[in-house]
Amino acid sequence: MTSKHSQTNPSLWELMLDHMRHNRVLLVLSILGNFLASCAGYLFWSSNHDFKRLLWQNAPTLTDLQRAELMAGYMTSYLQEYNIILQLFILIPGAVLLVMIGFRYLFNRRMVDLYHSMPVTRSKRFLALWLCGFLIWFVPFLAGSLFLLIAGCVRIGMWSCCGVFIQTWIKVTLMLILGFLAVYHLCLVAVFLSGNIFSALMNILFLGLFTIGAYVMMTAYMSCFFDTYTYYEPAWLTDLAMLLSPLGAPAWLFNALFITPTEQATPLLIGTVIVCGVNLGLALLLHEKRPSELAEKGLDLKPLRILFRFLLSLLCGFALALIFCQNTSRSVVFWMLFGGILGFVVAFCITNAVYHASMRELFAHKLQLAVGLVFFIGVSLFCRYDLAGYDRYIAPENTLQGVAIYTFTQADAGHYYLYDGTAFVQNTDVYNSLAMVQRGEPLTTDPAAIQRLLTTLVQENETWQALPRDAYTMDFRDSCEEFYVRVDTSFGSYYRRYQSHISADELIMDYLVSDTYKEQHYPLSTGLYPDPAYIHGFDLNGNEYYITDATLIHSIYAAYQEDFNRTYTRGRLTGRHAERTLYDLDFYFTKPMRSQRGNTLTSALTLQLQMYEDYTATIATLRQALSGNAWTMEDVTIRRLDISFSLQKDTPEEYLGLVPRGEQDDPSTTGVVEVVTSRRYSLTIHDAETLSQLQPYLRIASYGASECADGYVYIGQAYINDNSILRCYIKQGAMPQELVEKLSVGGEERLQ
Amino acid sequence: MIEIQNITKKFEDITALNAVSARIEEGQVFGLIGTNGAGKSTLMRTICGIYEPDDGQILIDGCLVYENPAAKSKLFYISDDQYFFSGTCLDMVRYYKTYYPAFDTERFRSLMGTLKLSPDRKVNTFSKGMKKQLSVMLGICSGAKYLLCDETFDGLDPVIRQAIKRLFIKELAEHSLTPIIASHNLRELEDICDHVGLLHNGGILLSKDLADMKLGIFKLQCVLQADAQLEEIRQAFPILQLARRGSLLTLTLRGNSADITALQAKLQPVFWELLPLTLEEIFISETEVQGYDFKALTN
Repeated sequence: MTSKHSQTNPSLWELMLDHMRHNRVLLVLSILGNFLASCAGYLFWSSNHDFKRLLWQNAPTLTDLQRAELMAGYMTSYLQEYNIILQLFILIPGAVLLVMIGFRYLFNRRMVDLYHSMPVTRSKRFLALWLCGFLIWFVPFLAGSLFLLIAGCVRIGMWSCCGVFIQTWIKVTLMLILGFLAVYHLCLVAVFLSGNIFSALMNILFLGLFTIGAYVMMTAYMSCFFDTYTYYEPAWLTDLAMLLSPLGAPAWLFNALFITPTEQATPLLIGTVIVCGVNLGLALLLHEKRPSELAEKGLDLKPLRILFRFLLSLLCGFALALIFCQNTSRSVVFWMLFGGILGFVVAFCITNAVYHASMRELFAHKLQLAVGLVFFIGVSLFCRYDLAGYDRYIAPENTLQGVAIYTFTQADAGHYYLYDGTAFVQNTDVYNSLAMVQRGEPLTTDPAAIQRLLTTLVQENETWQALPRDAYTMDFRDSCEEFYVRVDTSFGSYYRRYQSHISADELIMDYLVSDTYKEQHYPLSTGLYPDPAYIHGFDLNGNEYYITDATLIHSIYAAYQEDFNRTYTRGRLTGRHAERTLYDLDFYFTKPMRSQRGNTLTSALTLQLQMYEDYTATIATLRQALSGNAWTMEDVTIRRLDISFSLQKDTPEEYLGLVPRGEQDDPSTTGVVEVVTSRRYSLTIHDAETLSQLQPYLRIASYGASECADGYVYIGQAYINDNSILRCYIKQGAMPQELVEKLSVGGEERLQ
Repeated sequence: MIEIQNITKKFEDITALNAVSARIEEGQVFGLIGTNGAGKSTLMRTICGIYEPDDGQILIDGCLVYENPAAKSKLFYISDDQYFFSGTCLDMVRYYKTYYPAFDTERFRSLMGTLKLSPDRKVNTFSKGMKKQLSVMLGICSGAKYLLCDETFDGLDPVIRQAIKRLFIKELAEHSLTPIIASHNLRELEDICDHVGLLHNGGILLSKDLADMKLGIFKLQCVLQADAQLEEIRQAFPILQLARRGSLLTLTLRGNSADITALQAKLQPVFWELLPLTLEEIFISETEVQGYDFKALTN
């Protein structure tokens, strides 16, 4: 024996260098991608015209410190919003490419022969390739991020203002690394299970998105087939679906951490770290145990092959069934089943071919296909006919602990008080605290009362469901109230959406007008919004105003609360019969806020409160504060009134007492012009006398008001000066006879 | 020494190797012969630690080979369709040098020069035969103790084939290289192998020195005085094959030449000629005994 045969095994560094040599293309792509992202980022925040204009407009009044703070805030928000979105576009495909190319030898029998015959353990090779892949992404990424950090600090210009920016940079960088690893490890698992590129891609999609797909499909199916289904899924279910779908986890995590921060961010972060670690362990194990002969095959593990194929086919089946349902009618079971079976069979055959890496296997496993189809059809019919009694379900009385009710408008975030929360983009804690009211104390905890309420609601709902589908018209909807109910039981809470006829309103009104409900849903008196900095808004003439005097602000705020409490009626609550709104009052808060749970919020917010016609105290206070502004319809001068409306299908032409006559836009004409094809009517009034006669009857129309409903007639647009246009309506029956006749020559029926 | 102990390897329902045992001594050229699908490549890959055996174990100088870099560093595997990275021959040298630090680059350049191959040429411009030569050069220069060649002589022209055989013998003598050559081309192995393992249907039929094998099996052509004498031959020696053309009998016998000559003296046949068997004939005889029906293939 000669010394020639004595060999020392390669070090980790040597293996990494060797791997790097054979994957130069990845390094080039990574450098290029990150470089372009840095350029795009730089161009983005250096050419933001809005921000530039803001700086320019305020330049004379801004001190250097204020300018630096403004810049720091801007750069920080860029870092945690657009920068993350930009990075996600590199991070996710980057991780997929790094694994697919870095471990491509696993897909090639010849390469496997070469790699696995070399004197190195699989774990060492895995570590080398893992590190190499990570570094190929990380080094250019870090360089780009450092460039952003330095450029940001230079741009802020004042070291003392860079603190938050640097902190955010560190957090964002760490989170992006975690996001990369989440996707990277998922891809490793998917690739190690596969023998070829198609199977690997399918596994990445399956493992990466299946739980999100299943979650979406579950909610879509439930909302399609169960009339009482609400989207109030527990947050943990959504988080779990996202966490177990590592392709979605980074985006979900970044959203929860930076874009719309929620209290779920920390558990989500911990969950992502755990999932990331578990996937790494799994990847290592699979790499160790992966048989070399798997190369060029599909998915070799039979149990996994069956499971993945079944779940994928099921998901596709449900998706296609739903599409066919939506495009036809959900009552047509045939089309639903047709779509579902088609989707299931196609997906089953494709997965067959991919997982067996052979087109010959396209129609294999007929027994599994048959069993899967039976399962799919069973579940579909089970949902379609509500065989489990989901819509009729009432928890046993001995488990009932409480019930809470939310009206449609609030549940739909339609009420301004809650709706405003969605505008709190920089104050998501406030929004979350507002949303928390939906998880507030129950209105009653008497099991017998809850049982009675639920029984009535279920019966009401069944009555509604029993109606023929043709009966489900807008008029029918207008005669119903829709609201959500949260039922607390000893085994947890569940939500349902019920519809009830107006006649049954008494059932819930007791709850809706109770102090408990009011306090939970309109937390004006909870001290959540202390000391607004100023009020901003537009009056009816369209003039912008600011109120900065603290005493005035407090008196307006107090008047608003007084009006709110005074007008808190059933009509206001349900949003059906509310008086029309006048305009919005924007309260600006710049001091730290306190949330309902006592957390101190640091950033400023805007609270937009809606003014109604009958908020007399607020209007009076506003008039006192800014006497020159127009606060009610009486304060404005109308120069022109465009009346236009269209009649609905079954509305008689005489509905308004207006019949077609004359030419459009002729100043001398006071008649109505009909566009016959669409039954749209229009009238323009310039005549000062007529306008002054009409003005007392005109009311401000809120957006979204239906044209011919609820006893109001939508009129059109009032031009009150060169810049301002108001949408108006006239309450049906409010106009005097002579004015109706003047407007509608020849009409028998009148606008009464 | 490579010890193959009761190796079984299955691919789903197919048993590629079934309790295979063999021993490959150092300092000899080992020929692994077998029919198509006999499991030669599977056995080679299992020896190299590419495949993990389902049962049994493979020891390289007393150490298990699977996931054992120390044992694997003594092996160099040349597959029947070797993979080369895109790049020049020297890029491949760099790759192998990472794993075989004792790789002799100078010798590689020298050998490439001998075979008139340019080390700076891109591998993907090489013909199939040139790639085979390259892989053998890489294997020889790697410094590995055992060189496993799977169908390596396929695609080589006769001159290069002989050159490589000579190279193997030289390496064997100078550097104790032990080539293990898997092939179904028996004529290629006949003049180089010291020891032969015959693989058939996933099992080793025999593993012997080629010389012993040739000594222990003979082809006898004879014309006997009476048919009863055939029975005497049958009782004296195991007959692997028997063919009759008129009164001329052709028999493949297992036994030693002295005993056969003694029987000739006893039987006093009309005609008696003892012929040595080629490796191919031995292979056919042994596999036919195990039920491999060549005639059925040709009919």
